[in-house]
Amino acid sequence: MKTAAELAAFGGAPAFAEPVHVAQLNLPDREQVRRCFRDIFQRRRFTGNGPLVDTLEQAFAERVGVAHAVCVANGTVGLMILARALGLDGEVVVPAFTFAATAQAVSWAGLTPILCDVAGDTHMITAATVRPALTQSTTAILGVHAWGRACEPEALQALAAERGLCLFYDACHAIGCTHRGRPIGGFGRAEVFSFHATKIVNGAEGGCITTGDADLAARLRTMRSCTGAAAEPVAWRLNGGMSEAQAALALVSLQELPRNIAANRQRYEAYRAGLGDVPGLALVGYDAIEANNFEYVVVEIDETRTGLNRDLLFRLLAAENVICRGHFYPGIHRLAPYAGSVSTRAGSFPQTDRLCARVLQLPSGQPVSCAAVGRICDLIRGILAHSEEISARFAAAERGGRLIAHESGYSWYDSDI
Amino acid sequence: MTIGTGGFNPRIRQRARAADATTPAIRCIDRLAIFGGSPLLSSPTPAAFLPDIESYLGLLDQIFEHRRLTNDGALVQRLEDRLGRHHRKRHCVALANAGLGFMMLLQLLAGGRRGEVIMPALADPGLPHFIDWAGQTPRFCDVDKDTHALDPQSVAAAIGERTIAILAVCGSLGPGDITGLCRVAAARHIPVVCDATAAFATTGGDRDPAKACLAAIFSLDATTLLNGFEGGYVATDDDGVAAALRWQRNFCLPLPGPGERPPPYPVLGLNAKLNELHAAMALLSLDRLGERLAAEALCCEAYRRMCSRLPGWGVASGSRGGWAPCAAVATVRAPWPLSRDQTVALLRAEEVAVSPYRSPALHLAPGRSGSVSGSALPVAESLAGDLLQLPGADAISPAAIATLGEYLASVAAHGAAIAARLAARGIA
Repeated sequence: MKTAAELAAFGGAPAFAEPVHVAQLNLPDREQVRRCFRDIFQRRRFTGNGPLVDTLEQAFAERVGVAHAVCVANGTVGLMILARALGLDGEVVVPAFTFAATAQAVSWAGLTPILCDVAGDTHMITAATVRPALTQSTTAILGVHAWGRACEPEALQALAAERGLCLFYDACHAIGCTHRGRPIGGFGRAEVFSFHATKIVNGAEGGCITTGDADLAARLRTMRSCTGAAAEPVAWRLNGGMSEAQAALALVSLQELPRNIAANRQRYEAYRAGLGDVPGLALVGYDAIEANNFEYVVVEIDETRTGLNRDLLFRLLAAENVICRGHFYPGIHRLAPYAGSVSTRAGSFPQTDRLCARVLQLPSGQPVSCAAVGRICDLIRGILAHSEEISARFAAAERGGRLIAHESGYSWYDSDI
Repeated sequence: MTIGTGGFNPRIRQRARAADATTPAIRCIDRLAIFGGSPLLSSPTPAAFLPDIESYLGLLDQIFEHRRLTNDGALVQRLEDRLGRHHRKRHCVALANAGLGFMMLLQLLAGGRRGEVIMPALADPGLPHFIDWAGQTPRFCDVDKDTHALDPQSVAAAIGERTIAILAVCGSLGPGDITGLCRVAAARHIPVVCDATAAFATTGGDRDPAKACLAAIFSLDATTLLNGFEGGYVATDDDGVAAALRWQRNFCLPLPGPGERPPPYPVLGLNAKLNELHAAMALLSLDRLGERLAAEALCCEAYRRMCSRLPGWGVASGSRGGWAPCAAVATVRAPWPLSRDQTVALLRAEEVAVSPYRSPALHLAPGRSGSVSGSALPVAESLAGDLLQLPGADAISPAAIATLGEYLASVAAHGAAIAARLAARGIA
């Protein structure tokens, strides 16, 4: 365990020689991927909903237990075309505590995101937090399964039914997760997953929309391409298809999903063993009776008990080459173009603000060994054990311009590379 | 129906299907593929111009070793650098695809207003959709009959208070009078952006015909000259536009740091990042671009010879003014005995990869909304019924084009009978 003086921020050697990141960065078996690429070159079919995309859609639909899976260029594009394909018009209630793309996709679809605060314990919207945001102009609720935990499917569905609204989900965190034993992917009218390289299924970029609605799936397939006959009449189309290269990577990665979930779980358990009893530091837990992918190792930091805040811990760890992430920071209500717009008419989002100031995502994924997790835990315990001294020393060093800027170049957002 | 003396020349099919010695001589139109015969071009074309798979796998290994698959990776940066040098532009911003580039650029230029984007009615069918996504309305203008591009004078008449941008299109015959178009636009302070997805600028800097445009958007789709699986990029000399697009393609993140300012445009973020798998392919395709352009030029010459011998056919593509088209295009008109669509049906059955080109005119597309400049757009409407896209050098050889020409000459000789039989099948 380092002393305060040994911390890299104050001139000590970083704990890790190379940066350790929060992203999954699970690389699928290289030989299998190489074989897939040889086949692609042989077929000379590179994009335009080729055979690998078709295979991936079937495999993912089967995995999620839905009738239809529609692969797209990325999760944001998936949300954009889904919002249009649902025939919505007006306002869509969206959590303020989510990644920017959730609200941006709604805006691109010509709809108005109305931000809604989340519950402090689950980090997600609930029927109770959504209800005050509803008006005559509300057309839909867009829930987000934060950290792979289900976002109140029954209660939100009941509210949607009561008010005649559409319910759909951003499920970008939730591949391989369940709610009451049912795989996430079949709730609401449709759900959107991400195959970004930082997610547990890696397609470099990529996304997939899942639904049980055959007509909706047909519209989505038409909308994701600007060419070809329209299976269903749609007004808006775009270039949103997935390439065979993305599909190749994602297919091999999907085969490895159980193994990667198991490895994530081991890392998560190592974090729990290392940090579970640290006062003021609460590790987000997962329901033992549900499946989760353990993609996100998230802690809440209570400054009043730890003696230093999340931002300072982030900076100290970054100096040690432990690159965490202030997930999500800031809240959507503080981002352009939403700050001060009709989207923030609720006025205040106290739980979102609280979480944005306290939540820290810790490194996990294939490049992070359980031994590395142990070292990260030791670092954190050491920092928090000397928090008073470190805070004072940091403040003095900052005033005197004596901080070692190991963390320069890393921001809250690009730290998941 | 039996074709009389001098019917379909049997040598044509024998040449096209050299491997199939059992193919009987074709003496009646029943032997046309659309009526049940064997296709003319049944064997796949060698995989020309593809990057070497071993080179691609070498880059794939690099990607794996760096464990960086997206988010402005090393190959994307290398690609942007090489494209910038090729076009002699200060910036080339790589994107997940060109369509997202149009959406971003038009949303950026609108600056929060809702207005109109002037564009030709003869263009890629995706363009009006991208304008919709950007929250704008397309305003369709007619095109010049010789260049198939926007006519500066008709655009001048179409510019109004709601105009936020002009979307020039560089088609199979190049960008037309884009200098004149930019002059008209500049006089009204309207930005011009160029759709260069159907072409590739073979020159840059002062010789770039689109240099007066604010930005040009290129495609890295597998069907274009530069195959990057999927992808696109915006080439511009404008530092502010480039900075805004780079920020916008990554969700408008990260937020500006202390003392930093956001780009000078109110942009809406999205995910439009090009990934490393696609950048690798585009880089290797760029290595073979010269070879590809030379082959396309040979095919173009072969098509020119073919068309010169066919009644009603003309070539509507070719390198000119520093632009090379991605597609070989022909006009098919009377006295050719078949309609363009009948010709497409006939040739597709023969496994010749043809398609109607930019058809229908966009203002006539089913379900399309948007305004039309003038009472009608006769040139675009007429061309949309005539243009036929032919296979490029990656799918056909000059020798096969010669064979195709002989086949089409035989079709011409029996055109009336074929047209009648197709019409009876509902193919008009």
